[in-house]
Amino acid sequence: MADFLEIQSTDRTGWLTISEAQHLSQEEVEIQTIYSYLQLVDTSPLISKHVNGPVYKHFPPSVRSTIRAHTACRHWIISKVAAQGIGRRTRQSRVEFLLQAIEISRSRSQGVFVAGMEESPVVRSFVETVLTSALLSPQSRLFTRVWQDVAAKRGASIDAFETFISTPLAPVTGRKPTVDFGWILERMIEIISLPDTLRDERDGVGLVNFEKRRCVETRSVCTMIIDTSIDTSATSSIPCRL
Amino acid sequence: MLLRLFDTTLPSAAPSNHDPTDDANLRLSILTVLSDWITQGGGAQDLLDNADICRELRHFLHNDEKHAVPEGVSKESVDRPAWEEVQDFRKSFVVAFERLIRRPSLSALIVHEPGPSERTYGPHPPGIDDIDVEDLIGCLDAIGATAFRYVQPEVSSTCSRCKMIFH
Repeated sequence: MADFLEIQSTDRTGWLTISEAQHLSQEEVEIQTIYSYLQLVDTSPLISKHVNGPVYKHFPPSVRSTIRAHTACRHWIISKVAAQGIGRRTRQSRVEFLLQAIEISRSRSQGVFVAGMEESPVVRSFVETVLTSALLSPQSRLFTRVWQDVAAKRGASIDAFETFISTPLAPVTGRKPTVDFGWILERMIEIISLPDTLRDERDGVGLVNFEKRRCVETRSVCTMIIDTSIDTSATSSIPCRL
Repeated sequence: MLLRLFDTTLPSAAPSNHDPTDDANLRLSILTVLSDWITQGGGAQDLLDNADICRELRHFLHNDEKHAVPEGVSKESVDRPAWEEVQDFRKSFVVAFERLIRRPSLSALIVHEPGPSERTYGPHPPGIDDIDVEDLIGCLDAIGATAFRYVQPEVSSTCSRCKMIFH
């Protein structure tokens, strides 16, 4: 998989998508995630001149299965939020319910640390990603009145999703959440994007980029995946930040 | 290509002096290759990503006319056992195909056994208005953990190669 991501990144236009000249209103715009983008961006000709279609189709079965799991869960949540004939109060309570779930899963993620990523306060979890992307979907945003009511209740701004999320006051217990695989993919692409060598401005000499090598050692994808492995140990108690 | 090769065994395409047993063996070989690809080679996952090929293969497998025993092979014929073997294999392959298309098997990978604290969830999604927030998180996390569990052994086995690429 690293092969494909690296070759795709080598292609200067590899991560660009053909923008369709559609005049979508602001409400209809799909907010991209790494999952949606990988299913949208075409395979670079450097990978294969004969195979068309999205780059993610070249990934190993297990990775595609993970992407599919995210998509299926997201669609299920969207179907519950945007269900027809449930009334405004029920829809509002569902949105509120899902926001609570995001808050709890984020609080639990505060106990997850990855080598070399200590500066990141919260490593994104699978649950958080699914719920957030579903609530930010155009189908969910369509119900403006519901979102306005939820915003008023939470003292949040309708234009900033992060203002809807607050840290629970009570200590959050429960097992550590599964890290979002999309987050790991983003870190992989981040490492790949670093240059192998740096050019000294004065002498014009190429220097080895030790920073990239350090990243590979401390944040290598393999390490991340092994470190962020599913914790099936006993329930842990994670004090929340007040 | 395999499907074109299969068509050469059809009575309309085969010359009159063709050995029916050879045709049966060729059909069995083609079905075996397809079955291996679907059941062991991750083909079910590939088919889910390519609806056209999936549709074509399903149409091929369910096409009774194409898989019928040639009229020249009677019940008492010496070629009959070979043809019956093809028919039986196709039946079991169709069942496996339909099952794996619903949920591809990744059994080729080493899978961690579920831990003692993991809770199992039923096949049906919960009613979102009836469950509490902890249950919803647990349910979604279980799905994420199950999908992720297959990635780990695959990545671990290629760990050294991955590091080489980055260096």
